[in-house]
Amino acid sequence: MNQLFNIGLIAYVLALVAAILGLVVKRRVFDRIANGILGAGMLVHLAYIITRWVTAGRPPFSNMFESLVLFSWAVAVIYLLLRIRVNIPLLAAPAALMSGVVLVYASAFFPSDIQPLVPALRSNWLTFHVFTCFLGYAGFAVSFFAGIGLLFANRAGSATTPDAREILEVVMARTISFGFIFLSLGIVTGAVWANSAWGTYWSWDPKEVWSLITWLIYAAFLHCRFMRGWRGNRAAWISVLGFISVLFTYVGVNLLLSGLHSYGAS
Amino acid sequence: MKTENTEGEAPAFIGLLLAIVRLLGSLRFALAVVLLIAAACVAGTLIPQGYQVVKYLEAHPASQRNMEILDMLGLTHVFSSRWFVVLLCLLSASLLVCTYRRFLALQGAMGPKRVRVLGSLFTHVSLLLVLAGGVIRSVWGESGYIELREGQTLANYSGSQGPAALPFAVHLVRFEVELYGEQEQKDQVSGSRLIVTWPEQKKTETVAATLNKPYEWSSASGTGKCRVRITRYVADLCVDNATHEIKSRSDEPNNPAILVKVECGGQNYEQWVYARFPDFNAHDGETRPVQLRYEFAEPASRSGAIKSYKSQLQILEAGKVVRNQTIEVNIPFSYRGYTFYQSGYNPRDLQWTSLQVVRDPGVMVVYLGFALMMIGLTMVFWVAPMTETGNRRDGGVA
Repeated sequence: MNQLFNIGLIAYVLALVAAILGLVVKRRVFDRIANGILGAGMLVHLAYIITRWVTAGRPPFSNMFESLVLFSWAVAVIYLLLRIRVNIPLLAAPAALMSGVVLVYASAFFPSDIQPLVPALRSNWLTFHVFTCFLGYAGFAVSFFAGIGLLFANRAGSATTPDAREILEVVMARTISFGFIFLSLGIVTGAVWANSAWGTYWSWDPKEVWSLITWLIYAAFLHCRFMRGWRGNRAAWISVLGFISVLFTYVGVNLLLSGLHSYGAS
Repeated sequence: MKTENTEGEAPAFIGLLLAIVRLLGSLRFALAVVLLIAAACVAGTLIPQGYQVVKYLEAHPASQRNMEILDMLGLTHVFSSRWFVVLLCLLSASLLVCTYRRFLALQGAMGPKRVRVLGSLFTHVSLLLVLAGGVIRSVWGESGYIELREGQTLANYSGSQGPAALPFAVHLVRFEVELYGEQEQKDQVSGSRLIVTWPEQKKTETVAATLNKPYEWSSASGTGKCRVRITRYVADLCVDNATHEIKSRSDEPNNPAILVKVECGGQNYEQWVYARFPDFNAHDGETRPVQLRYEFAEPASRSGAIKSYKSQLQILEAGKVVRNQTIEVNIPFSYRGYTFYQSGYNPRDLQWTSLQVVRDPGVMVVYLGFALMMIGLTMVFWVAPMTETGNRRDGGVA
């Protein structure tokens, strides 16, 4: 099982190298190689998740290590799905980098042992809640890459083509729309689960509150973007702020604040 | 004169009302309220809240004055403070005006735009429903706890305002704690350590006691590799008198032991290593190339080994049993508007159970809001763009 984890990680590193080469030498072949390796790594990574699921006899989404593995995989998947629709080689390197770094962080700082589930986590809602939240987080991660790319592109000015900037604008808005649907679904499934486990769908637990903060930031982005036509740096900065909030909701709350989600910290 | 005044005040009042409605319906106002709510939420998670304040002051007595100021500002009970409720009311008012505007916009909208506006309308209504459900719960809802011992019957519970009566009685037939079996507990071994010592070479290696993980070292005496692997863990080791087989008496780690397979110094053998009896080595006096010691890490909380806890309940009306139901964590039970949740137990006396009792007439309103929100968001961000793309492909107007 650990071999699958390592192969997946190596694939992400190789994809990163190929993507950087593609950006430096400006040859499309490297972009294709990067996507191919990233796709293969994603499949191996999926095999690792499935193997762990079968071994544990439960969905492997119950602690920090397992959720980081899922997050890393989700980032690769969302990026690859995006590449089917949009030709944007610029995002291959950050997607491979984030998938790889998250896996390294998971294996370096959190125990990978399979632990039995505490009673509160023994529910089918675990799969729906965690899976939807992390698809949302992955969408926001890709929007963050697009936002950073847009900030750099706007700073470079005439060095980048208007087409490239327009693609980044569209990618940022679409991935935030995608992430917003799944974050909303994650919050809703979490609320329904909390109501069946603890008798309350909302208890102002730090994780819940930070999910709400993240939701509000992206709701503000979507209103500004689609109702007021915000684009460029202003929209990109909200995307960056939103992803900082995602990171705090996910990692910061687990490590710094205690609450009903404390089991996610180990 | 009086009539003139009334006529003069009426347009002014209507003008003010319209100005308020315009303000509430503006995106800038809505974003300002959202920003304030987000800021309040940040404060509510970073500043100690409620009972946490006492704990915080015990640890940081010098912060007494600062905490008093924060308390005066309502920042030590953000989510129950009046100013936070006012912010939620302003958000609701803004949502209400936006909903009305979207309803009006729906009249003239066609095609993908109609889908988008309708989705947006659903999303805004859904938020109002969720907030309304919360208000219904806080005004008409009840919640509290009930603690029962096996065989005991109670017709009331401890609410936030003191004891409250139930319209029926609850009887605890049996409470049981289900633990993970030996196989499922196997990874609990991993918190422990295995210490391998080569007495002749005065060399020691310490590794995590993980099941089935092979460890290998080169022997300093040149006798080849030394391989060690833990093949079994038993929480409460005993020997079955009838079969003479090793088994676990219980799931409690009263006598934790591991079976270690060793290939070293030309010997190949299996050895039981006991955490509580490190000097006990039953190996017929044969000299072993390595000495093994098992340091068992006590779980921080025994709850880690608990798979589930269940209460077998009976509901009684007029002294007669009307329902038999077993509840456990994640599997509550509802009767006549009251829902019972398995919330805890007494680890020192497993005949006691602790149940949460909730009557929430607003929960269905909230769930309706959740469903409408997901339908609305899907329409806005999925169905409408797909329809637009389809229209463009067909040469239609997006």
